[in-house]
Amino acid sequence: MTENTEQNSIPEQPEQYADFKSTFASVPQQDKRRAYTLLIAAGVTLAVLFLSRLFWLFKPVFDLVYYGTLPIILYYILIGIVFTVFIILLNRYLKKHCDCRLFLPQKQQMDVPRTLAVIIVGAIAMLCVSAGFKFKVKIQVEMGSGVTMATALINLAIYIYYGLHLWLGLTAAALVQRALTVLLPTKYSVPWGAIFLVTVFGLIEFALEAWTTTHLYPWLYYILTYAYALVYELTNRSFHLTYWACIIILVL
Amino acid sequence: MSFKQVAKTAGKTFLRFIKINYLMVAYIFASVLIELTGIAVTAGKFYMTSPWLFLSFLALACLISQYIPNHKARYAYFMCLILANFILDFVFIVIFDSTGGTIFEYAMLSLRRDAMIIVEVIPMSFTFIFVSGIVIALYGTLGFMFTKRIERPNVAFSAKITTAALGLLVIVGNTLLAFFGNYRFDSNDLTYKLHQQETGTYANKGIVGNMYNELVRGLWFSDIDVGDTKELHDFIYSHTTEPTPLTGRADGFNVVTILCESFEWFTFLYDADKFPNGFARPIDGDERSADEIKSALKQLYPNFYRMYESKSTVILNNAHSLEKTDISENKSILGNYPLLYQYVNYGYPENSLPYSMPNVLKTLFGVESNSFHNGDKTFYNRDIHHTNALGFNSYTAGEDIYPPDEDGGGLGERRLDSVMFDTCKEQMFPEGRRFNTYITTITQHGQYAERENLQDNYAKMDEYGILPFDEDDEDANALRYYCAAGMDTDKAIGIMLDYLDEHDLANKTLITMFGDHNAYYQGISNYAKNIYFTDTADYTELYRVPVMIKVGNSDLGNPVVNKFTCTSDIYPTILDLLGVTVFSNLTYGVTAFSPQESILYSRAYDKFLTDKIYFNSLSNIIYKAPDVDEEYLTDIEQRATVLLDKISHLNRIFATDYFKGGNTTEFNTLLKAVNEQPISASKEVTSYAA
Repeated sequence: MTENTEQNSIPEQPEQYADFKSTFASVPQQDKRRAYTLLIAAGVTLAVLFLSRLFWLFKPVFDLVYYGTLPIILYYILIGIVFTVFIILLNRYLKKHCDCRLFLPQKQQMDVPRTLAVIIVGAIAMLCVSAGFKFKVKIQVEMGSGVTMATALINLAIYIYYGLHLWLGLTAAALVQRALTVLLPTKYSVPWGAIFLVTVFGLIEFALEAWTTTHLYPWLYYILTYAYALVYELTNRSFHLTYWACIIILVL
Repeated sequence: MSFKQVAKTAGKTFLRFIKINYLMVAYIFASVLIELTGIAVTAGKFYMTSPWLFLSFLALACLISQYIPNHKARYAYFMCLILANFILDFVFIVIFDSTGGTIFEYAMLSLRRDAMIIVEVIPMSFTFIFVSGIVIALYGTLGFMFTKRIERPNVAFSAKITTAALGLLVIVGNTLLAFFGNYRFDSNDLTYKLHQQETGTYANKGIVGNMYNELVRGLWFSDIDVGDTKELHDFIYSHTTEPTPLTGRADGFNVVTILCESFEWFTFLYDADKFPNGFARPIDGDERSADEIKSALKQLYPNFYRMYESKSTVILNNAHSLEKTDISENKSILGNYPLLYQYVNYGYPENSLPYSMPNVLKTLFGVESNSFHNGDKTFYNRDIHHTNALGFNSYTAGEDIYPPDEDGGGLGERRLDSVMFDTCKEQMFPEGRRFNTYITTITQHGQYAERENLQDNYAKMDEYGILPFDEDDEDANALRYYCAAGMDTDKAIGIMLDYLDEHDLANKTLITMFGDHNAYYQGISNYAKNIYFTDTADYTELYRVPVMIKVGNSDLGNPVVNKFTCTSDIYPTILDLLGVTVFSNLTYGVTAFSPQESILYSRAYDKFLTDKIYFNSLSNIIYKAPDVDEEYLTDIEQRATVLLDKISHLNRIFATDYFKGGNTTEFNTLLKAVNEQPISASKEVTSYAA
């Protein structure tokens, strides 16, 4: 996502860190403007993410296309298209107005301890989730046994749906990390993105899932956001590494 | 140079070799760990007794890597191998888990597309995926990270020569291992199975090694030698079945044989000792006595009880089955099943089998036989096998019975037995002629999830307070769905019994109902019987299945046969009741009314079984009851030896289509001859055979 590259590096940190007010004042106006734009972009991303649930209001229209389970799959396809178009547009906008490149792969390699730590986080997450299902693999429980092919297809589509949500959630987290790092420079980097993932993205997703859907395990997905946050930090906030590691955790 | 210096130099060289070949060393560890985990989750052991084939593959893979000059290419190569190993193991673990413990064998390849239907749910072993996932993640990340940090590998000419020589050695070793692992196969003598070291699990050769060995065995060591045809001829005709007190009790009767899919006694019986998690399982707030629950069950399963409690019904209370449906089906129609590297439905669907029940009844009495099944027409190749090899006049399948848009609803949903019986009752039980009807049901087939077409049954169960839905207990719910499916089979039986009564056929129809195997899907049988491990007391109870034989309306007093019986005994028992004498060397079992006991050899699981013992070979007895003594073991060895001798002859009969042409004519002539004799006289017929 917003990787540290020459084009896209975090500005020099001030030598004195008296308080937020003074450090905030020391940030150049141009950087502030960019950071505000990034924050707004994060907000819009979240809005798109959560408002996409309103597509369910079109269910009567979907039902006109075909009866049965097809409307549900149609909904997920629609979400996929909307999210992809949004990300492309967002990418172009940020590149133009903030000189911020989404999806630039990180150049520097992760070190061995961090790599091991990511694997351990993934393993612990998998172990804990499976323990909740009497040591069955999560995907097996969620795909269901003895289900019809149509239900299996829907369950599979739900995974893609959650993958898309994670995509936008991580995008928003990376934008928040970038913006707040610029606005509030500190001696040690504060994990704004990770905090955002757990407190904003995770909680809102949890609330909406619990109240507006029949999803059986919204709490589980909320707990998983802690693993995502940890992985995000451990990978030096590399979007690509975080995303694919989190997808594996999400599926397994 | 002193020894110390030599050792030091050698140590340094070795360490350098390990360092440069870190990817190879890590691959060996990763692959062995994945393989051993696969063995642990299937066989319960974290080792292989004969790992040599697997190790030879590892060695070969490592030697090939020595030709690859850079770490990145080696990394890709080894990652592919590790992933291949993982996927292969995963597939065979899924097959193992979804089929109740079958390990891969060559014959499975003949299942073709049916295999995908058999493995309709993918049980994933958490342990295997978890351990393998970590291993692959570690190899995938750390292996790649070091590709730039470690010295480039040496692929000098001299190293290539050494590698080539070693590679050749490994290939020769691998070939010899494959040869010596299979050369003992002798189609004329299977007694080696009684003393083999193979345990019929992946703990011998591992998953990869077993697959390779089975392919080698199936391709190059499976030829059946027809041998001495005179000896085979004499063997077939040397003995006939013995009369029993019930011989001919159903003389002239119609025959209805119903293979009830996954049918278990706990479908409708309350038994707190045998089925502690069945209807006897305590339920919060349910204060009813056992008698009250039994009374409710009679309301839910009235027709099973009509069969079970009828004075005309013989109960085989100690019947066992350890097979898949197709094998149980064949055993009940043929009385045998060969041990070839093919399943007969696929490998020999057009063989001449004059001793099949339909052919015997046609030859002796001109009876027309028809087969019905509400599954898919081509599944198990039945559409060809039933009408050709087995001799049925017709085979009616699901597609012929149900409307085109009702295909069973895909996975999870099953066609209803009651609909099949209701739709086909006139063809199944025709008036005006003697008939032999074979029916294979399907509703009780797994998976056991909530089904739309069984909603009424769930409601009825709830009305009677039987097996209520429990959101916290998956096993209990699976049992609920299983028993609800049983209610539909019960309804089907009711349709049949009513129809036979209404058309005055009941008094001259012999009805046999039997379970083809235990309810292994989702471990229902383990759960209901609370038997999970082979060291559980009364382990063989796990494979006890119902057999009920209703002999018209005769007053037999509802007798219960408590001797050990199995699927192979169904064919001789039916023929015994019909008063038909057949050549006993072609039947693996004996009639239920004979004092003799048979022994079950499971073709599907490569195990021997009675009610007291369960073994792969006498060198590997997996379970034996406390009262098994030396005398019993000697008797078992004798029974098993006789059975294996019969199997080896059957192998020759099947593989060479022995009864093709004139041999069928001869068989029919001799069959008629032995059945024209007074029953007590028909014991030795060697003279006829001559």
